[in-house]
Amino acid sequence: MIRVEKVSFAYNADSDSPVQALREVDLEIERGQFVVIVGHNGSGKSTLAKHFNALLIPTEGNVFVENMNTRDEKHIWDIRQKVGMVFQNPDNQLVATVVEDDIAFGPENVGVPPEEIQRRVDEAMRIMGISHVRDKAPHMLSGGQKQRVAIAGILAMQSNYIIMDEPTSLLDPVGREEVMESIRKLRREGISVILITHFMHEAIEADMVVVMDEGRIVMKGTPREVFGRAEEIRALSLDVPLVTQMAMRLNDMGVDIPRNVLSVEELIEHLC
Amino acid sequence: MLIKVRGLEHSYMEGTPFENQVLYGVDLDIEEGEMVGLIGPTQSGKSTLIQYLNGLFIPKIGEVVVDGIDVREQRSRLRKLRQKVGLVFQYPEHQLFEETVGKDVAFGPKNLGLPEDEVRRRVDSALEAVGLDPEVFRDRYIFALSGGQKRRVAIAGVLALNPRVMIFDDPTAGLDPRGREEILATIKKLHSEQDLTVIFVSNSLEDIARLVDRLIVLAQGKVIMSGTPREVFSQVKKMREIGMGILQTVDVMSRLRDRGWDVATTALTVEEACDEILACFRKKASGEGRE
Amino acid sequence: MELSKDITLGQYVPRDSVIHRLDPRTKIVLWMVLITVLFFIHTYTGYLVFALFILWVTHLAEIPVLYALRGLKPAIPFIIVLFIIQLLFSGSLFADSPNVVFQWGFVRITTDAIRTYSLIMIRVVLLFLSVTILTLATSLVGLTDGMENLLSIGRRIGIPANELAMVMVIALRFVPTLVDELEKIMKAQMARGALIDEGNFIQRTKQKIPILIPLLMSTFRRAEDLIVAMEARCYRGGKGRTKRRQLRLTALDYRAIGITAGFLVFLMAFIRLVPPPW
Repeated sequence: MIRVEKVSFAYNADSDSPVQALREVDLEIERGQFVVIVGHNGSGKSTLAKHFNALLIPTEGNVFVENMNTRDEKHIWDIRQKVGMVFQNPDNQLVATVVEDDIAFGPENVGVPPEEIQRRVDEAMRIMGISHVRDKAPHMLSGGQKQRVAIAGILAMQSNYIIMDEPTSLLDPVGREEVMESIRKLRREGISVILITHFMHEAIEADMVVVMDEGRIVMKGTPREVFGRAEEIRALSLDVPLVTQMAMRLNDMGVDIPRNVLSVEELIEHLC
Repeated sequence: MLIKVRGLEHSYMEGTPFENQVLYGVDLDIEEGEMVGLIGPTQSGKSTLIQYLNGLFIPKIGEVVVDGIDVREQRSRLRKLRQKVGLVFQYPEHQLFEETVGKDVAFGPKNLGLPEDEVRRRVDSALEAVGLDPEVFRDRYIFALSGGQKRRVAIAGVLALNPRVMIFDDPTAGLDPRGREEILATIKKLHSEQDLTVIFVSNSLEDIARLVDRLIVLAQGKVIMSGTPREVFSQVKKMREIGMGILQTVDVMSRLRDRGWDVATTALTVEEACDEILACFRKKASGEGRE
Repeated sequence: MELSKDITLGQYVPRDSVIHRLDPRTKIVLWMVLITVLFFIHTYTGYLVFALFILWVTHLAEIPVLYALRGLKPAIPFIIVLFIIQLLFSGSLFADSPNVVFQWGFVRITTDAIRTYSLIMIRVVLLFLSVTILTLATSLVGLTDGMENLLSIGRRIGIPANELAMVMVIALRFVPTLVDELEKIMKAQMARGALIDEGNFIQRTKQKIPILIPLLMSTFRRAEDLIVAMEARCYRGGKGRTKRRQLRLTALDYRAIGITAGFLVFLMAFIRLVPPPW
């Protein structure tokens, strides 16, 4: 479990003009959960995510990863091994010049024996469906493939949690779907995914949606609960998923349909 | 005809072991005043194609004529072409280099060798066109702007050349919903108020559906479809095949149709889709009433 | 405009040639020996033999010679200017030389000077070609693994082998990315009417600013991203690090070492046969 307790964080905390990015955030993420964090740029969602793997240490409050406090220097590498991270721009996170080597980078860093690394790399590539590009250079791959390589690199580290910071925002529709499919696979492997995104429809399969604004968590709950409160979401100039918008509009027009429908399939079932 | 492209081909890294052809005979026509969307999966050749339209590439195979200028025959008019066709690259804010907003926007007009007062006039009107008050923003430091504002400054920098055509390469990439709305509204305004011909390259089908009159679909280096968004988006099978996916509203409508509903499948917006569904409900209800 | 076409350094041409299959350590060591020898050659014949050897290696590596040489293209004007400057201003160095070809004021060009500087230029070209072949025929991974492995001999005396290798990997990994970036920035500014490489020296220098500033910013941005990504993936220097790839010398490597040694003996014979020019 990842436990965030009353965490506040300011950039340049020691200077004259600190920038308050998080204010008293509380959050618990269970093993295996799929959590989506939404909010505007500057709402603090990326800052919060960087606390999960000790890239940032709270100014106040504590973050525990499987009972290890991120403040504790001696746990830092164990924490980062348990909590992997995929970034927005795939070009800036792939370190090696060949796919297979990039996937091996994490396990090499934590000192896994060579034969074991190869076994893990093979397994990670198999799960992510990228075995056929194992000896390609990362810059020859499509955006979706690059992100799958990045995810495989974390799988090979045998992390229990994967944070993804807007992994789809630079991809085309196919690439986005590849990433979403990867998330489903990770869940099947029992790995928690914490997804930060601007695309609301990516949140509909989540166990929990967290809405952030000005450094605070302003809403938290299942997608159905959160997107059912469309007025509050719109007040933050965010959107609810398109299908939910349709259901709400139809409901307003007098059609007998719940207001918190999430998926296309569900919408069709309700209509037919 | 404002822009005419015929049989255009392009290879990268020509004559090296990495040679890679990306355009295989593109034909394209764009009329004055159109708002055209250009879509296609990554590596379909979109970015390459738009670079031909303002002379950053010069055709080796095929022909590109923009407002009567064919750069193969008139190399000297290359600069004229670049001024006529403004190209806003992906993440244009990464190309800002001056300290202040005003100075950066002035870069283009100064390169054209315009007199001081004309440069100033152009800077002001370009800033205004992208919704930034020149009085407020002219002397602002660029690093103090938000992401969305920087992007609009970059767009103003191209507008200040007074182009007739503006090409936007994925202008909403990486922005949050608010920034996205701002940019889309700006582009819409430019098209309607400044009489600009706009070519809009995007990965977001939703954005495109709302904005453009005509859609051109590029796949594997060729134009494979062209038509109104309604015509193009109704080609559900083809769009899925090339890996572009389809609009969610279209998805809903075509599934209803599969279930025997008598609905048009080409709804582009939520409003349209809902009206269509409601109409169908009413039809059903009155049908049942009669029985 | 396509910049990346002329950048051969940091590229890798994947082939399954004998050169590609050699252990990277073998390639690095032999390459270092060869370029050291290059500095001891002072005759046209010596260079010719050396050039033939390099061309043979290029051929074995299945790399088109023209492609390997392409990277020189941007440097040609520089090399020529350097050559001329040296010729013009080195008269005093060859004050004793009687074979004057041309004299005007302090400018005194002798056949010895021409010979010396021609040889230097040839050396530069051959040096460049050798480096290019090494990088074109060795994957970056191989290159850095090899370097790291070789350097680790010096770890006892405090050489941070792993860190040095990492610096090299990243530098090389980002060459193509930054070239693409540079091209994009140049194009963006050209689209705003910027004149690239027109006008006098001061104007040209000024024109570089709109390109250099965004390039620097983007390099920093990438570097920052990369550092965070590496830290997030538990990178903490060479301590406790393992390697997936294990290097092993094969019969092929011993053959290559043998052939190169033979070539060197042959070359040294040449050098002894032909006396040095000065």
